[in-house]
Amino acid sequence: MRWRHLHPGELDHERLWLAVTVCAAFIGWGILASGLPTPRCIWHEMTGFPCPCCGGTRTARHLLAGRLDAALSTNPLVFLAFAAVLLYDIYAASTLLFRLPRLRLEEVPHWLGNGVRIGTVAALLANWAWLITRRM
Amino acid sequence: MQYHIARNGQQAGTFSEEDVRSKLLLNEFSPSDLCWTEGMADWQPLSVRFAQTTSAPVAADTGAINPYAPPQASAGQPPGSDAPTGSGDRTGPAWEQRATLGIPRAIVDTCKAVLLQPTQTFATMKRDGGIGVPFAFFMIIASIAIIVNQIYGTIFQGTMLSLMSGLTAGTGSGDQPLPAAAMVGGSVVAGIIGMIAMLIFVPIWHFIWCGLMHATLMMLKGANHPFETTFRVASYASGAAMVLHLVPICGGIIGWVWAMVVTCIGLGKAHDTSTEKGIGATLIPLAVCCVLVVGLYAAVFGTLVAAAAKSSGN
Repeated sequence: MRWRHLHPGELDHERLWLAVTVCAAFIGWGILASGLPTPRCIWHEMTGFPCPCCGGTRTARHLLAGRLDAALSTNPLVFLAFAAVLLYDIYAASTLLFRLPRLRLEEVPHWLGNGVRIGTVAALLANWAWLITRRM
Repeated sequence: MQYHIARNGQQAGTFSEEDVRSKLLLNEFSPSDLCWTEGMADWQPLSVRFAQTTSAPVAADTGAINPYAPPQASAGQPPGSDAPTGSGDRTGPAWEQRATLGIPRAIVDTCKAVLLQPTQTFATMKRDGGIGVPFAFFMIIASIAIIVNQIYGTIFQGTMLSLMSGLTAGTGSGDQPLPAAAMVGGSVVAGIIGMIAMLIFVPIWHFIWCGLMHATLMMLKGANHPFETTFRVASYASGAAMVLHLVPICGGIIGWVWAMVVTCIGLGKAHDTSTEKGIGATLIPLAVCCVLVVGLYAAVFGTLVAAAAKSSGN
């Protein structure tokens, strides 16, 4: 993991994912603001239990309305994912604007890689348990 | 000092000078492997650059290619490669040779190869060269499929509305039936809006989907090549399967399922990992996003198995 400038011709992840996330945010905002119907979770309707991403749309609605506490309690993992995307976009926009070196995950230590893997699975399961407990 | 290492016609990554020396001593690198670092005019065999570490210099034809001169070469195209478009024998699919084949034939050949011979196709798929080329393939077919599907939808919807308005009365406001032309016109406008929305939504979702798959593949320790490789597999697999969406009614679901199957195979072959990890990278994001999808798979496969058992019992 190190900071470096892009090699010539190397895929510019910052530019790519900034564009993708900003476009996705505009589309999501457009759908929610226009009152178009949002997808329903058939798993939830069939079983009565939430799927791991249930409440994602409501979290986005709360965020758009500025209700951070409600967004966090609706689906904490989706809330954190939105926050992570926002942080990444700030980083990406900064590197593009000021031509800064980029963070690249090269030669990630095994302990760190395994830690991220275990942490991600644990976070997903804990979030799902939270949603089931609350019967979202 | 960081060195870019190329082996067997492919870039093996960037390593520090110490790492290169230790890997040479451990025989993880061969003296004939090539290296390049800033300040070097061209690639050199490790035996030349690290003469003290290696015992005997190995002559290697580095050609006159500076990998950082043209952008395409720098993104992973190895030095000394005869093939101008790929690394080693990875030059496929046909879309990569569209300049010589022509675009229509390249599309047809690529779709046939991806859908009917996915193992062979992805085992020889070019892993580098940017994301623009496969994305163009995906978008051409996706755009055609979206437009044709909206036309189907508009025709079916319009026909149904015409029939309903003729059969029923009092469905409009004030118990006045809406004129059929107005209903069909509304359906056409909705179809055009839907088509434009899909043309914006589909490419955005494609990038997000590829990112999720690559992240999952990294979680499974199966991502032996960069995001570009995953994107290429998904673009060719989804693009080719989009052709099936041109079949009315059932084409969409068949195309979707086949795209999943081809993507699983493709990720395994392109990343030099197991097909099981390819399956995991394709299905786990779906399962996490909505467990329903797994239930749907189970239902479809369960139905197929039950039907097969019933027919064999008879």
